[in-house]
Amino acid sequence: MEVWEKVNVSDPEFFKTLHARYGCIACHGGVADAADKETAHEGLVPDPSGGQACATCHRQEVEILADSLHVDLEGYYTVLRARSDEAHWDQLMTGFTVHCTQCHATCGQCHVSRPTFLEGGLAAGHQFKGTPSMNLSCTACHGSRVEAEYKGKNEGIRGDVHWTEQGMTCFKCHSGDELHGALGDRDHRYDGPQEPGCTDPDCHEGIGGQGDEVMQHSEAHLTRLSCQVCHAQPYKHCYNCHVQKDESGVPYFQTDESQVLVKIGHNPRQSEERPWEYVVLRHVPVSRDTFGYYGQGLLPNFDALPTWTYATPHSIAKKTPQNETCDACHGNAELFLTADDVAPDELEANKGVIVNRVP
Amino acid sequence: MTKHLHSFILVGLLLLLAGLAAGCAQGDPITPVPPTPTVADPIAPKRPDVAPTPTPATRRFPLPAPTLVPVAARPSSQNCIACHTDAEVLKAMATVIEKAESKSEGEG
Repeated sequence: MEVWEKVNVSDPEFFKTLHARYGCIACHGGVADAADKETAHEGLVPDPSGGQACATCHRQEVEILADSLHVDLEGYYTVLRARSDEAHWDQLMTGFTVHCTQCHATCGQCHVSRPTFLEGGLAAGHQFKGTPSMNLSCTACHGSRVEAEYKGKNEGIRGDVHWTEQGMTCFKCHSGDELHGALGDRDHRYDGPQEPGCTDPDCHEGIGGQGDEVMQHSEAHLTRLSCQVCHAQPYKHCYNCHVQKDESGVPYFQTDESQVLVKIGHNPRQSEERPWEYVVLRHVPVSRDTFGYYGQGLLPNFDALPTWTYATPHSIAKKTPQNETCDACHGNAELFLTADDVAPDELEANKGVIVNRVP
Repeated sequence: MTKHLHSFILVGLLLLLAGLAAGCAQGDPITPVPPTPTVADPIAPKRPDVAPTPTPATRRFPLPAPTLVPVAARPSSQNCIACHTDAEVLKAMATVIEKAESKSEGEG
């Protein structure tokens, strides 16, 4: 997007809307009746949504938004706190701030413009979208894993059945309440109940009950396996992310080649809400020296959490290679995360999720 | 006989006059009677089984109250609109900052 396009209020319909009635300066600041661009832009607030602008009218939404994982990035802080310690925290945060906080979202980055991660720019001529654009807002950030899986962009893998057959957008399952943080102040996206869950009302209710003729929906399977164990097609795993700056100070990252496969392991987040013994696991790109550029040993408790983590891939299909026959899964070591799948440096971190005896 | 009849009539007239005089005299004043004690027990006002939920306190509020600026006092947006709706003006005035090429490799 050209730099001028980003600020082009190209839709004249916008000026007929309620938001336009307040005038530009009410939200964006700047100087009225200025004779030149520089003066007009003094005190300009390009993305005013973080402050009072939205709260003036959308008070309730703004109040709860502070608890949204999209805003407070608490999921990142939770895992970094577990892997680091107080002595290394400030150095770690220096690297995190440079490389990772672009994932932070504001009201406007979903409802008015494209996210900062995509370098911003008005999404629809300054129209306010109550329901954001799936392509410009959601998958613009959640692209390499979620979008690729959901839309079938991984070579040889079909898209998720919820997309290919039902055409369901992200918001069909992920409600505004969930995305705004209204369902509770979570420390991680997998804290608390499943939001959303496969067996939610109006979704797949009655699985395993009377009338369910799928033989594999037995009590033994349903209580021990998450839905994705049988219904996830291969999904993406990333490895060894390292962040640093080049000689000009421009930040960059490097990751190893990704893989697309299914790996079943022991559930690292077993709880009343997620009681299963086996779940699918995704390798997240962290490594012991991901932030090594900013200091040595910034993740001194790296082994406190697995690098093969609880996952809910968006590659769902009714028929998958692993549910084709009993033997396709039972005894198939390829499907399970075994010690030989894990890098030697990560064996200790993953000892709780590695399957030692393939069922 | 006639004499006795006259006496009876006289006595009768005197009694009638006495009765009439007594009827015109002022009677005793009427005094209110105290109320009869209520037999039935009074009905107690119905109370809810559960105490009403208190109004939840907001966590980070109050926010500063919005300042209502009368329309006439709002700063004009005409200059902003004039530029930001004209693609040619925006192109002419755009400051293009050359972005350094990132060395990033792999999937983010």
